[in-house]
Amino acid sequence: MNKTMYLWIIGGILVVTLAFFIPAQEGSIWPSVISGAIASLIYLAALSWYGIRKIESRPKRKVITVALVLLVVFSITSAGISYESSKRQTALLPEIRNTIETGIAKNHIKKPLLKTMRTYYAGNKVGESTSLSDIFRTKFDSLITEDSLLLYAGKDTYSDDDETTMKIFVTKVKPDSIVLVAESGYEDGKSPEFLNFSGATGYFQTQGILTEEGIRYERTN
Amino acid sequence: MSEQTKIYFWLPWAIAISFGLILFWGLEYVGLKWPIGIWEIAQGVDTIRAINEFGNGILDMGAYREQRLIAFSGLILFFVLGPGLWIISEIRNEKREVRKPEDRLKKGPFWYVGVILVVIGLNYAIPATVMKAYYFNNTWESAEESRNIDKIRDQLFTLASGAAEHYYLSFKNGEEGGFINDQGKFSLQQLESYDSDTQNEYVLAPIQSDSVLIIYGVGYTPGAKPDFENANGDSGKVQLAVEVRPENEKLIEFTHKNTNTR
Repeated sequence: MNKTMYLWIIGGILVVTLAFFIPAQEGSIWPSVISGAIASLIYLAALSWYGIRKIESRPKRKVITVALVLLVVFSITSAGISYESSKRQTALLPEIRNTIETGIAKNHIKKPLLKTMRTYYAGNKVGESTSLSDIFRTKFDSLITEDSLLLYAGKDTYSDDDETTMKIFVTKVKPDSIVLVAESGYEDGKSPEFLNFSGATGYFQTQGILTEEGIRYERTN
Repeated sequence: MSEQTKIYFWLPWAIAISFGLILFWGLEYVGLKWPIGIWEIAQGVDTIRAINEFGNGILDMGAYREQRLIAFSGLILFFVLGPGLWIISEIRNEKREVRKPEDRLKKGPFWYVGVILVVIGLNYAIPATVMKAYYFNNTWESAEESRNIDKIRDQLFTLASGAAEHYYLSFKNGEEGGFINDQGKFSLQQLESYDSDTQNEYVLAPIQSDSVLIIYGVGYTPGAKPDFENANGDSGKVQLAVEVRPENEKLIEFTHKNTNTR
């Protein structure tokens, strides 16, 4: 009898160990935990079915059954809440980052173009400059790098390590039109094959085009 | 039965349960939760991974061996060893020959280990689940509010930049421009982007100056003050405001005046 019951415990440990370590041992540990927990529950159900009915005392059988049912019910509920929170949090943080990226793109494309418009239309001319390109150059030339990147508030330099940073490119400065392109190094765009302005592929990209008719802001990927 | 031979059958239970409680709360007191929080450890790893991905945009595929080991130990201790040893010991104790009444108090070390482990497991599972269920709703309600505020802020910026653009274009061809001019007063409906957010409502404050606008965004989630009167006639909803000053250096500025956020 003793031997059989101890074999139950050793068997339980082996089954749970096997179930726990079968899923890939990298990244999220939920697959291992879920697999191990399912094996534990199956083991507990089998052990209870086999073991509890061998106990002659009815009150003891009741106490063990109630304790194990409580343990299982509350553990499943707790695991469910943790799993759901985990899933939501995993989705929420990239969503926040995407919101920030989208906001930066919109903000840092529109503001320079609006400031150019203000000078162009509201009569606040700089010297003799009257074209959109002249005004834009006068206002923002000092913020444009050799690689045609536009520096913005909170981004006073670009370095090679800035792989995930939002980049604003000045792609066209003509007397009648200015084009700024914002490219994320983090947020995925709609098409994974899309060729971004920097040469990367698949990232979120928007552009703002300023003409005499106003600003056209559009998502290109 | 004489007074000397009175048997307290509850004594082993009292000892095991007390020991389980002391051990559980002792571990809590010294801040050592190992290896009790199996699910919280899995959740914690996902949080770390999400933060790493938030920072560098790369999916974190670390092994997290220590956390795996802790979660694994928890499963073995509380779902295999605890119940297993308890049940086995109960069966074995019943089969054991009882010569004296007090022999019934001799439960054996495996019985104590099994009961203590189940007590610790229960002690953790029940209060922790109740607390988690309570905080779960609060946490995700806050997240939904933040999501709503982000959406309103984004749309307010779009409307504000559209309004500024509208302002500048009103001076085209040397005409008398501004938010109030010969053509009438500016309205949000004149902007193409006005209808692009159907969940929230956007209202223009009465225009006091031809070069300043205030736009309110009213959301669908509750704001900080339940009796707050929203710009659209609702009450208690989250509300943000943005000022558009096309002639100023700061063209667009979010303001706290007449807002209802936490």
